[in-house]
Amino acid sequence: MEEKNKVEKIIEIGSLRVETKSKVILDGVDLNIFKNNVNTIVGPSGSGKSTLLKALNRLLDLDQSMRISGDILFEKRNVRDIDPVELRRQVGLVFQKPNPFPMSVYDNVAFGLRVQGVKLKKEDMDRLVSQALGDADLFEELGGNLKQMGTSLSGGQQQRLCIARALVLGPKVLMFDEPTSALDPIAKGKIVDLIRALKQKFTVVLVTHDMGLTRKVSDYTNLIYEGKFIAKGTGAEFFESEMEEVKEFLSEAD
Amino acid sequence: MKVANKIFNFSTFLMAIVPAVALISIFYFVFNESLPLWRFSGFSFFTTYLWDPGFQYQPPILVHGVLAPPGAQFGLDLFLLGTISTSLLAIIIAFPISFLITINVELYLPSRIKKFMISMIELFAGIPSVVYGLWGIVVLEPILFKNVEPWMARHLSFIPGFGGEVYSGAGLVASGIILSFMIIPIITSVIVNSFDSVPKEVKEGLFSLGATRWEVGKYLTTRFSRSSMVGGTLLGLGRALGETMAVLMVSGAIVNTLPTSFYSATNTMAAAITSLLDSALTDSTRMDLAALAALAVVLMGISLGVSLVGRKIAGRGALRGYESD
Amino acid sequence: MKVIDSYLDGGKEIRWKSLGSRRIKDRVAFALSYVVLGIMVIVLLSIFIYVLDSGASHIALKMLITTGNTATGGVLNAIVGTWELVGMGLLFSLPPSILGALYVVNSRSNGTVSMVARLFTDILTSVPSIVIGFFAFIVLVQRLNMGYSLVAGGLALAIMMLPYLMRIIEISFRNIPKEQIENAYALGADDIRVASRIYLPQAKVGMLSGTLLAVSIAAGETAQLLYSAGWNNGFASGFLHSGVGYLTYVVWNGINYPTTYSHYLAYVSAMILILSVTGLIAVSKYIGRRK
Repeated sequence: MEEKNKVEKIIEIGSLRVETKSKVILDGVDLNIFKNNVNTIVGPSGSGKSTLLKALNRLLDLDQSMRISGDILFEKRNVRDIDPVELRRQVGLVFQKPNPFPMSVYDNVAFGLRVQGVKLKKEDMDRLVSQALGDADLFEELGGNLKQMGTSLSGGQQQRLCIARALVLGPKVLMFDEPTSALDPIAKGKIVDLIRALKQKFTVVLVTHDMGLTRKVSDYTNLIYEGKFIAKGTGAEFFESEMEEVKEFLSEAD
Repeated sequence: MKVANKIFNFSTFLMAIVPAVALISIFYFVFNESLPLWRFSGFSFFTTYLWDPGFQYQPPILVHGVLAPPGAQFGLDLFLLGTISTSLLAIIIAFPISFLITINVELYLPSRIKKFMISMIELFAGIPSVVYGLWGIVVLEPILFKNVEPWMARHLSFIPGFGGEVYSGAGLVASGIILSFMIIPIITSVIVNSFDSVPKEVKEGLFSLGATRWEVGKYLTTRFSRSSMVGGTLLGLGRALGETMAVLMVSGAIVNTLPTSFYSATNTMAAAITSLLDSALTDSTRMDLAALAALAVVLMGISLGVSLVGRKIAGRGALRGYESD
Repeated sequence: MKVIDSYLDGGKEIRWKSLGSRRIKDRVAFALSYVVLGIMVIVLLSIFIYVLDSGASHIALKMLITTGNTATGGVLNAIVGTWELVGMGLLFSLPPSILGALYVVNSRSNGTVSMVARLFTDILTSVPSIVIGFFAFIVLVQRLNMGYSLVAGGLALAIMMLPYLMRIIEISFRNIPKEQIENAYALGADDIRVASRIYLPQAKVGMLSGTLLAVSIAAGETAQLLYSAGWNNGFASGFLHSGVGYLTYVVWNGINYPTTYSHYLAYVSAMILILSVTGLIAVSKYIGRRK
């Protein structure tokens, strides 16, 4: 692991509070996301991890019942001052449940560019699409058949298709919400390798309650419990933490 | 005990087929009533617009083996033209409105009041058609006659049919507008349902790839809701084709005069059956009644056909490829 | 470990469309959709306000407590007749709808029959109301010699209400958890018991709310009734061979009649109609929502 004090923060979250009328989902979360690292957010289900991700790319804004306070800085700019469309392009999100659109693999990957009105020559588009699929470790597996429906792929392939779809936009941060929870062990292993590779060019934020996955890939680990930020540490440190909550969580999770 | 259950099951079976029996008997009896007309008029029923019950107080004459008052002739062209033109105008007005309402409630309107707004729009379907007719006569027609149509006639006269004299406000425009109010809730609810049936993950996926709300709407429309939009519009069209009272009250209910412009009075098959049935009863040969029955057969055929196709298309899942979810 | 190249390469490859033009399109869609929604709400309110206002400003007690015609009387006969007709329609359509829906949801029924029943139910909802009225006239009024009457009018309304009720009751039956029904059968209950102990009690809210909606539609119908219920300046004297008055007729006839008083009666009838219909819809939605 590289020297920690040189590592740049790309996202800084300060006293983030998210609540609906009836309940508090995130209650004053402070944490940092470090550039070109795998930043893991762990916690039991229902602790507000997914909500945190959706706050980072302002997807939460779509749900008017959510009240959000506190600050999120992306590259030192408050996300409230960044156009959500711009922000979401730079902070990509891969969902827990693979959600390919009902169209061909090629169109799925090209979708983000097309919907944003990017005009490219056919060969440039082809190159970007195959590059993204290659980076997501899917291109060879599909044998170059990009005409098949995205929805007809297996679960693991669909998940990697969704990763390719986010990659092609060239995001700075790529967020994963429980990317392996719906996958079999082999597909899971591929995602693990992929996440390791991705952090060279991207900043990865990974939400999971899978401690095995965290041990394998995490550089910085943050524990959230019942909407509150509890503990953080580098990959190895975290697991040796003396804090009661961490121990309790680890014993429950393993 | 077992016998009682058998009787019960048999009675549920009988009741389940009541709609089928009702529909078939409606078609059978109305068609049966129309038979003399087909022998009397033959294909000319479709080729003339004149509707003349003949001299009912003179002795009936024998034509093609059926009795009819002398001078009688029946053609549905005027009514068919009016039915189609009023319904099409209604669709032209209602479709873009329904589409924009859907875009609004699905993507822009705060979700708290979405349900309330949809119920408001649904109220358009709850207003009795005679109330629409009343409002049309007292409020809409004077506005059209005094303000809208003269302006259109002056400024749009370069479009064929849009020039010429404005008569009363009753006619195609008033009918089209009121029909559009009646079918907006139908079209809207079909499109809204298709939007709602798109999984939340897909919508969030679209947004997280950096699409604006409008871009998401455009995508959902072209990708998920195309068949619902076509189906919903056809369902609305089917409803408009068969609507009776409101159109009868605001169309001018004209007979034997073809419309000469966009502002002319018109008439529809449904309205004609209603307004002509009373006088048809005085025809002792029942030929006039047979002619109205023939109108009813044609109207039923068109309107059921359109609705059925619409239902089929709208019911075809918006989510092909997503059934596995 | 493989190396992932940047997609941006100093911005050379992808020329992002300016956010501005995309934002403008979004703003236009936003504004246009709100304008259209606003116009429709205004139109709706103006229809309501107009009908309520013109009704309220011409109403007189005399109109509500006397029968009569469009010259000097009131609309009591039409108010009573409307509910008699709707009640008759419900009598003829509700029991068959419930039984028919029970057949369609029963998994032991013949699948083809269920499918055909549902198909015809759908088609029947699309039959134009005047065609039902015409059928009622030639078959009920003439062939079966009922004359213009409560029964003929009620049956004509029932033909319209039946498919509607059957579908809505079917839906409320289908909302009952399957396990409950399977459990009941597994415990040896027969179809009568499952219907009376599970389907009917569990679906009663949905059925009530659907029935109220069907009633609200029936109360506003005209075309089926003109040649089946006919008209009556007084009260119907029996179930057969005696015409019935109803409010929609007063609206239609009154506004086309050349006296001012008949216009007033039309306004008042329209007001009563629109209040009853929206009242019924509101109650139906309220009941349906609480579930």
